[in-house]
Amino acid sequence: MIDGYWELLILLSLVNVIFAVSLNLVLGFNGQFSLGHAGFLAIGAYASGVATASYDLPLWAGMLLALLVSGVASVIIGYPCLRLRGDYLAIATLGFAEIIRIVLTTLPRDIFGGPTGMDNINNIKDYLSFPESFNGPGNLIFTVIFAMLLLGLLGFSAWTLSRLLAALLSRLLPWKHWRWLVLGLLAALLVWRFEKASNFFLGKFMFSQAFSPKAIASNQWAAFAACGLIVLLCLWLTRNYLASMHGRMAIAIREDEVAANNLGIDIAWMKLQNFIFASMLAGLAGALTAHTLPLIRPLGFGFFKSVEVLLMVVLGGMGSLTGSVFGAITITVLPELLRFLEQWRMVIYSLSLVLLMLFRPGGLMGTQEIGNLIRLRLFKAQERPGA
Amino acid sequence: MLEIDNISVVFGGLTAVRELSFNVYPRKIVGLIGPNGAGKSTAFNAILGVFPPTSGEVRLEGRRIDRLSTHEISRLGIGRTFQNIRLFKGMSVLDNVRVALNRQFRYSFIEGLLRLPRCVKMEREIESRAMEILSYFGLAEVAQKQAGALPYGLQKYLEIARAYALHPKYLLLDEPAAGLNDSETEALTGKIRQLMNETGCGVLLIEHDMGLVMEICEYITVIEYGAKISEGSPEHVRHDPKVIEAYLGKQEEQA
Repeated sequence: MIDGYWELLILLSLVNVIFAVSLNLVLGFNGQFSLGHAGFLAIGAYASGVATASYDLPLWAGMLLALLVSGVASVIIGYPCLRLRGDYLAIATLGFAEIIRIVLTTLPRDIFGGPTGMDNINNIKDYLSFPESFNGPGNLIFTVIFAMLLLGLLGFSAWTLSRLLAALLSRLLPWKHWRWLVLGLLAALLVWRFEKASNFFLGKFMFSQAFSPKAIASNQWAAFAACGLIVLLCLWLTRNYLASMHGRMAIAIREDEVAANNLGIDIAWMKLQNFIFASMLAGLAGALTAHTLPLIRPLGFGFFKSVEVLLMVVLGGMGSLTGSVFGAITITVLPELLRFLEQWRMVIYSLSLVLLMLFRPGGLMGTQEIGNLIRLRLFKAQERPGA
Repeated sequence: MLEIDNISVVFGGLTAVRELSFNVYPRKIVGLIGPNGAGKSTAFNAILGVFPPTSGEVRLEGRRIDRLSTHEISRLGIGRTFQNIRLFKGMSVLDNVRVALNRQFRYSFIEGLLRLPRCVKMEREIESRAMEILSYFGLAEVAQKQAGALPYGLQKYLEIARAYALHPKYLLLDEPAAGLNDSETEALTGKIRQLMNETGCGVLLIEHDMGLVMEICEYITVIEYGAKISEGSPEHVRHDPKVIEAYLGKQEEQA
């Protein structure tokens, strides 16, 4: 069992993975600068929200509708706009997202909720009903999985941090063992504050409460599993698309439009096709958002949301699927992990983004996928015996 | 036969190509030469629909193609290379060629998305065909490398390989020997000739290297300021006073 705050964060991370992958298809793989991606998220969210809350349709119908409506919207916006280049396309898509937002605030309040938004949308957990005997073990398994993931993430961060600090320190004062000193200090900090750290950790992940009546009544694990499966499905489809001839043509357009055109590729149509696919993914992410957040409102899909997803893609690496996954999770979770800094939170958050862009201008992953990187590492290790 | 019939290209008040006519035949290498800024590349782009001709006609096997868009013209079987190499630099060498095979092996978007059997089969065929083409150009060993990381000479070959993968009836090469040394140029011309003989495609060549043009072209069109000033066999063109004037300046009359 995980407390509600973290439950929401985890679900939002999963949703944002789909959203970031969607923008990466347009920006990273096809080279088209869209600044209005939140518009499609809004369309998906409201399509599914309105269908299920105001018209009592089932969840699958809401999701299907979200896919359909965002697909149609992407044709309407993509057909004229994708002929524009660079900055112009960014401005046009930005305008589109603002139009969507403003239209949503002015639509009839009893159906669309108006500027205050909709708070009567069913949560995804309400749709997943399992026998209660499933919920105890399910919750425990997912708690263990997430605890291990978080531990791994923290360990990896400490490892990277030590490397970074050691690099900086050895520039000031050359010494071989800076890294071990830093790691040792971190370990000492952990031992010194062990009780506090473990309380924090066990507080987030309530292992012992997995079988409590409250936990058994909730379908938390089922929500994680459902969202996780949808994310995996989306990643699988996207990977297939990128390995197919259509994906290859999209990437070729990013690399060189003129050359692609001279190879018999219909640039306008391929861009549109890519855009439709990406927007449908964004619509799906929107539908999941609507059933995850307690409230959706037009302001939540404003310019800032578009910038946030842009950040995820750029941070993870434009043109890397696994990069988008990392980027989405980092941008969703990092500001929350930094809450202990209180008023310094946003300063440190921005500073860490600036530092990251300075040290890794291509994003965490560049255009590489994690599989390739690991293979490269192993390969290089073979090339240099004794290294 | 690829017929260029009386085409003009006008940008605003500037006539870049003026009433130019020439033909490209299968199994023949035709040269288009002229001093810098003569409008050679513009003529190329007019044929390919990048800047459609303002007037005149371009016909491919009797069919008018000058109002078609670039990708349609390419699909009809005209491959090209660029003056300043335009590879898909971030993609692998293999992918560069695979992209060009998009018309010969087709499957639908959905099949690709779900990786249905037809997609898998087609992808296998695409890969083996691409490898075939790469080994024909001696690029098989570098197939997995990033195209932008290849040395300059190999990039030239890769660009021709990519154009060849379109299975073109006519191949338009924009300064293929630019930046190559003599022995590389020789190897390249040998390859172009071999390609032409084996596939029966026609080649149109823009070139600065007069030696190369004189050696491999069977028919040459010379343009200056967008207009044709001479045409004929290399021997004829070489001795044409107008061509000598355009390239070397006018000889002063002797007293």
